[in-house]
Amino acid sequence: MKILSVFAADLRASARTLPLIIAALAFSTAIFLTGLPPGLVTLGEPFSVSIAASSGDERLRAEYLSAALRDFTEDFYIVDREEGERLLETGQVDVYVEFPANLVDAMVSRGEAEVLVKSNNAVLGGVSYNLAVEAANVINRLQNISLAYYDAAGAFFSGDELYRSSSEFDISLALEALTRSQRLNVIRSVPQYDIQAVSLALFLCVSVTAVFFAVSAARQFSRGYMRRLAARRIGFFHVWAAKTLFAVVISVILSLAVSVCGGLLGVSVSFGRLALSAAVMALLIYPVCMVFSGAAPKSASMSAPARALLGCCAVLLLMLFAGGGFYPVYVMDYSFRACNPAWLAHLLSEWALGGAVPGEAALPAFFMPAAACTAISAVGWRKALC
Amino acid sequence: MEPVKGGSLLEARDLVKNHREPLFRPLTFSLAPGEGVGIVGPNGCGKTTLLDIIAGIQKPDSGTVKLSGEVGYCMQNDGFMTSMTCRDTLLMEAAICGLRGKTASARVRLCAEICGVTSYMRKRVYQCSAGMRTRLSLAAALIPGPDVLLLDETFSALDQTSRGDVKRLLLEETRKGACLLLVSHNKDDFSGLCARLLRLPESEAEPL
Repeated sequence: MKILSVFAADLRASARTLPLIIAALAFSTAIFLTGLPPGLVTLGEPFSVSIAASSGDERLRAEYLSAALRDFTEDFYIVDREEGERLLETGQVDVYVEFPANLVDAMVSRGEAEVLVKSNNAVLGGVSYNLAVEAANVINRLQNISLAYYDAAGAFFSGDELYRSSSEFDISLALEALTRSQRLNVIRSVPQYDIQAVSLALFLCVSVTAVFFAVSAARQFSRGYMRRLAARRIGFFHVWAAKTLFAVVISVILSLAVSVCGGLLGVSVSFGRLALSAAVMALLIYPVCMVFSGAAPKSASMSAPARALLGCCAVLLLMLFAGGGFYPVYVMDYSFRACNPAWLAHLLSEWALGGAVPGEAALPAFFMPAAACTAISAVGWRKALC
Repeated sequence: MEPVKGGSLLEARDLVKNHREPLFRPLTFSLAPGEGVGIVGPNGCGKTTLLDIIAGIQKPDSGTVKLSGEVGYCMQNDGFMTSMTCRDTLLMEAAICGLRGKTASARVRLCAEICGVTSYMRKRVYQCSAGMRTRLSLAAALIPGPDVLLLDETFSALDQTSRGDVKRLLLEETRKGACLLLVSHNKDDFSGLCARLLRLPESEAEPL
């Protein structure tokens, strides 16, 4: 009852501003989603592409290529160059990839190498990008060296267009398209643009909501509202539960807006999964922001809401940094990525768009920031009331 | 809080609260039904802290507080959500007390009438003057039907007429059996309401 009372009070107090907030977020989300390329493929179809691959490095060809490609597709052929190009010309394979003989040496010594990828006209650029990345990742894992992701994500082919990109290891990806118009039956499981757009919208909605409510709670602290609740025997747990519940509810409502906007723009996203994703993200991000609503050190030059805003932004940036948001992923331990809320949004969005259940979400690092911040809030609660 | 045995509604024994150094000397006092005690002292001597301890907001560093019944706390800074209406504010207090539906509405109406806030129930808190907010705070404190009323500088924002109204209101509550702890800097506020004065930080009681 006490939790619901605080929840209802927050709802009444925010009732005048909530429609404005929701409208603003929905509008900005819709604006962002309009940047999606038209005619994106919808989901539900299995991913399948046939590949012919060759390499001038005999050891790579004999020992590693099969393992690398098997992670990506079951339909592949390890051939020599002439055979590979013939299979592509006759349409028996969709993509031909050639790994140069000096690939491993280039990765080790940071020299130059060029991976050639040829595909027919109907293949979206992202397939080749994914192919090259996945194959390189497997080789990389086998060779115990990490590779950076290429800038070629989302590149599309037309005609004989040649696209080049380079990585930090000076390994180029040369993509060539043939003039054939043969179409593939299926393309991919989840379009990358869909995931990125939905994940950005999801992250924005949840993080802005969390920051807003944390700032609001800080204002309530400074005006004595929390003290008033404490006098009525409403303690930290009741307030924390009520406000977290409120943040979760608002995040779910916003996910509905994202889902509707996506539907209008041809992006097929499951509302149920997206709502659950928003709820999970709110549960993880909101406690992190709440810690600054009351427990932040007092300052004469800055108001409580300003301190809360600064603290929330700082901690979110810290989580993004710790999770590899601002530097190449290969220089960090993979498990640290789990504390990156943007990465969590990416995984959950892919799931909402029909992808696999994100196993990484079970990593403890996803929950550690929220758990630690909840403990800090509980300790700082009473001190903040004095 | 432990319940009080015997006739007292409130019993404090050897209360000590430190803030870098002890705020006041070990404090011992009790309140019987219908009794009023005034608390006086210089700024920063711990008057509000004492009320907070009794209300359960803060814990004493040593000593005990025993309480029987409900506590109504009229704070110096009321801490209301300013965007809520006065009616919603009182309804929230009623909900926290476990009152629902018509019972809650009836209780809110009664307390609003007693405190003279009926005419601006539809106003939002930020639209109310300091005197109105004090009356609203008093109404909120009366919602749970308190046995112990804690009043922190309640009269400071009131004009002469309102002071008289509020005093009559508080006297009526004491006649019903509630006891009062009143903090004020003006000794006139205590007359008629309090039989004793508690002087901080010396923690000495004297008859009024």
